[in-house]
Amino acid sequence: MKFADFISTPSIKAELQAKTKEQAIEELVQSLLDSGEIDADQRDDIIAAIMKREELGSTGIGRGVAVPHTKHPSVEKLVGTVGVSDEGVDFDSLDGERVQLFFLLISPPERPGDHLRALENISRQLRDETFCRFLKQSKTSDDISQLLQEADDNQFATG
Amino acid sequence: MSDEICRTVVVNNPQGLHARPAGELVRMVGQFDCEVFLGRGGETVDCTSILSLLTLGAADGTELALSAKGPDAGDAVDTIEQFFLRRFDEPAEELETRSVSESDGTPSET
Repeated sequence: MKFADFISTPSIKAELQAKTKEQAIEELVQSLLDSGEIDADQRDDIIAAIMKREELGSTGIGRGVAVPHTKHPSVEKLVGTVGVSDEGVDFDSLDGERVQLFFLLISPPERPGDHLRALENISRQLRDETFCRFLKQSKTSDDISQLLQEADDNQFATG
Repeated sequence: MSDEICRTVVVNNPQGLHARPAGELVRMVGQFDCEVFLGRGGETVDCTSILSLLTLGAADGTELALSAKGPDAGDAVDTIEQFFLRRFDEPAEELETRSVSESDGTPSET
């Protein structure tokens, strides 16, 4: 699976304003709504579901990366977005690092395999330190989508 | 060189080895004085990193090669094997999720 298969390019957000975990999740879900990826009347329910998932254990997976996610019946296929925060947000990550890179995912409940493959792709690409660093330094959504495209083209492949 | 303890574990969870159990594994491994690895095919990853564990993309039914080396290796392997056998301690409703085939998302008629 490639980023292009599940990341909604118009929803990508550079320079997130959020200062807290909840604000970051709200900002990214709102961005998906603004791009027409989710329905307006589902917004609050999706945010609540993602926050509930965070209570089970932070999705801050280390190295300044978080993958907040939920299953939600309102989406027909896996959809996600990417956000970058300059200052980072306290996300209760396992390694204690503030989170600068967010990959927010919403998947249909009956397709856990797609969600797993998206996580695999994200983690595989982020193991490359150059890719990870460039993403964190991105100042515009165009920069971010360009980097994702390059990753899809295997320009950061570490094998 | 200390002996390495190896065992095969199987993912028995419709969600696969996803973010939450990966985090649990990292926490578990941190309690032991040993190195722990999980391998799939030609790839072996260190169990101290969620990022590494997620690169395995281990879906339901995947066999993984568990190995540990160090003073606590035996206890660590036992504990992790139990965690796999308990299906990652997932709530029952999560374990009931039926996955549909990739080619056809249509649920069967009731």
